[in-house]
Amino acid sequence: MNTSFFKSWYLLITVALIGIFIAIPSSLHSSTYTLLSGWVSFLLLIIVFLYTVRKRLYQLKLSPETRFRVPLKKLERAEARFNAIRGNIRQGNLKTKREIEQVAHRVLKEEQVQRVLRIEVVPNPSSPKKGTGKGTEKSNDPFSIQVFPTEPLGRVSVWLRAHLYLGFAFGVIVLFHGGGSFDSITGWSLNLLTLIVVLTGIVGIFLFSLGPSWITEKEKDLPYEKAFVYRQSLTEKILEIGKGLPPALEKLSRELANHPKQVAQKLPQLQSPSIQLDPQSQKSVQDLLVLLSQRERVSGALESVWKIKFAINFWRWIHIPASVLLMGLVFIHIYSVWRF
Amino acid sequence: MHDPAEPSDLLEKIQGIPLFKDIKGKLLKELAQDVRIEPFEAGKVLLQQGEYTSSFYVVLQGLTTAYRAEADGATEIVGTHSAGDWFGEMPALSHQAQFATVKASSPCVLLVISDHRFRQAYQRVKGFAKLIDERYRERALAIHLRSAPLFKGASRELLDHLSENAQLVTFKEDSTIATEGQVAEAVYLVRSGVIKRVGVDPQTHHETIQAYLCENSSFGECALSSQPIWPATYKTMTRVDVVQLTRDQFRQVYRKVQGSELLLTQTAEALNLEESGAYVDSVAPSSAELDLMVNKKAVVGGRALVIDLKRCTRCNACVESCVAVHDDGIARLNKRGIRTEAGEHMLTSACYHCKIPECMLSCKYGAIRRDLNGGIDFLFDNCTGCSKCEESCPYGVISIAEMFDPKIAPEPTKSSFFKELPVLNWVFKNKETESFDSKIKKAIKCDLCAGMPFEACVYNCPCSAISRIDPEQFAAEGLFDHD
Repeated sequence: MNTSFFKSWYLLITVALIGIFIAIPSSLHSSTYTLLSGWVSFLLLIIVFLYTVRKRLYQLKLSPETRFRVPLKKLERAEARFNAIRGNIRQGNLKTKREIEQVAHRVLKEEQVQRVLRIEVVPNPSSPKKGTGKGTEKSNDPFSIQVFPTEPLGRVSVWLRAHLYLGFAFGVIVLFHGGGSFDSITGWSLNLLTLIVVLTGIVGIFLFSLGPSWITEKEKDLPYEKAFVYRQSLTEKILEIGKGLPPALEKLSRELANHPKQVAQKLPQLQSPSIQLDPQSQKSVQDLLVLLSQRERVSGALESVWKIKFAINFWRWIHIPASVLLMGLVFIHIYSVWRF
Repeated sequence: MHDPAEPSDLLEKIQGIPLFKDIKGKLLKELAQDVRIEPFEAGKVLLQQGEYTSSFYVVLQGLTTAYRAEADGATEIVGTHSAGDWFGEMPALSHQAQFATVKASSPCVLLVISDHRFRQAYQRVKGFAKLIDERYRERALAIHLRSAPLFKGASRELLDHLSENAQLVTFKEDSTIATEGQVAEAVYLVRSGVIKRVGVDPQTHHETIQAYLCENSSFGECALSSQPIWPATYKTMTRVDVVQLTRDQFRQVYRKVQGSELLLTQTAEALNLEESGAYVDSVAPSSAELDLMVNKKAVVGGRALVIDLKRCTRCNACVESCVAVHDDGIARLNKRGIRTEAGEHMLTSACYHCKIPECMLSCKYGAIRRDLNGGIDFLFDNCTGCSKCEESCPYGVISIAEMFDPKIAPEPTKSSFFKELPVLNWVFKNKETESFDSKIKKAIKCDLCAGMPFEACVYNCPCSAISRIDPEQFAAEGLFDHD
């Protein structure tokens, strides 16, 4: 099970946000409360929606950070200068963390790589790792400069957690906002859609946490990617053997190779052919039967993995359209409140 | 940079340099076609110590100075190069990090030769190799010896005497340098090439590769110890150049430098003990994962890309993001790879940036080099798509892709938002005409998203299922949560 979904700072933010709205005294449960909860939930919805935008922009190669690319020459020059700084640290010319950071940041700026690289100056571990073999040098440098990519927009996994928890917070705060009102069309539809979106989302989290383990369990004997190759290779072998058979059986073997769903129906024709076969052809037919059964097994394995993949993704068919509809209704609701 | 000189001018220039006097005929012409002349201002750092470079430099005009910073912070001038002198022979020969920083002391003009042309000349022309070796012995051998653990505490005097006595020996591919159980007669320091250390299991008599030794590795310290018996067999995997110091040569030096015998013998004993300990450690797996990686040689790699299959929803975001960051639209990552015994982790087919990169050893066109961070880098222009690297990669991470040649035909226009919309996408794709003639073959592999502010696959995995990790650290600590 992927428990990493359940460990996030956004969980604390969600609890805090919900806590604040519960704790607001009932004397304040007026139009101010409604307005505040409305705007907070709208803001949360926007953040939740940004996750989808971030993902989609990337797939479309439109993510702004992909334009941050710097030439390799610049990166290498920066790295060479970091090496020189490391030498200065060793010689004792740079003593404090602040001094080192200042020089290193200057390098990033001068080489114009600050958009793709960031540095961290960390105290060096005092001893080398155990079992590193002969000739391992102990570093006596007091500090080391470590270089990391800047990751300007943040990892998608972090955005996903924000999406999950802030989405849940949105659902709860919307309930506070409307007071669970189902008496108007807007209230009814918004509350219902929110409920659908949040519930399908929760189902999604659990399926995404558990699903990979199910797939991995199924893949133990035959990994998914290998199964594809095996199936293809078995199909090719079936076609090849079929070529050496009499025309009627060759046609049949081609059909069996190209249309796996017809195997059950047409297999008896191959098991007891209507024509007399020479010993060589009989052996080929036996081989074909073995290959067909092997391919059935591989296809079966593929299908069971595919079914799990479908199962862990089916909730999206409800979640995504409902979310789009909810977003649209929220805008209509805000416009109508502002206009009327 | 100068305007490229005419090949005939270059040929004359090269012929006029004493270093190249023995290179003749076709090789000389090829060399002239593949060199460039570059001017540099005074004070310009030409090569940085520790930098992975792959070019060989000959000074045509001006003066350059090489200096080296030692681990203790001391800096010493290693040498100066005037017209006709050269530097960068060791990195060009063996892709190792630059020994010293080289700076232009005055405005200078350099002849720059690519590593594969240099290696060709070094391996084929004896006179050329002799001159290179003589200069290497004069200037760099003492410093090179210092990189071996045996000579860590050695004085400059001792190193100079050893350099005078050392022999520079070349072994062909698949030669046996030393055989387990025989008397060890010499200490070796690898200059270039790859050697495997092979041990034989006394019970099963199966051969096991215990280690790979590449440039700057040393072996045979046992020759100086009280038990001078080879603990394993050493076989070459490629052509190998070594520095050989026999026991007799050591004895001669002992007589000249007081106290050297005690120092070297004690160090050799200590190294022998440490070495036997290290190999015992390395064969004792700390987990099933590490065991598998050792068997599959992944441990010789630098950093592996690992997918936690119990987290991966098989959404393909990693591959899609890999496609998105490469202009040619070809994914460097595919989700085929080594699965661990329990089937929970997969070492994907992305470059391990090996410590001993067999692809680089096999490339005859200088299209593979190490970058400053130690990563393996493909040079697009040098690649001929010959697929030697693809065949030599033990992990199958290199593939040969067909792509548009930017020199012949412009790449298809980049996708826009509208083009990616489902219906319009189909319309646009049908309108694009692809001419097969404008396509070329190039080797591709994971480039760690060089130049980008992220590693796309790791960055875009929504489930934190993919990480680039040190195999040993992975075995000890597992994957990390990034959130």
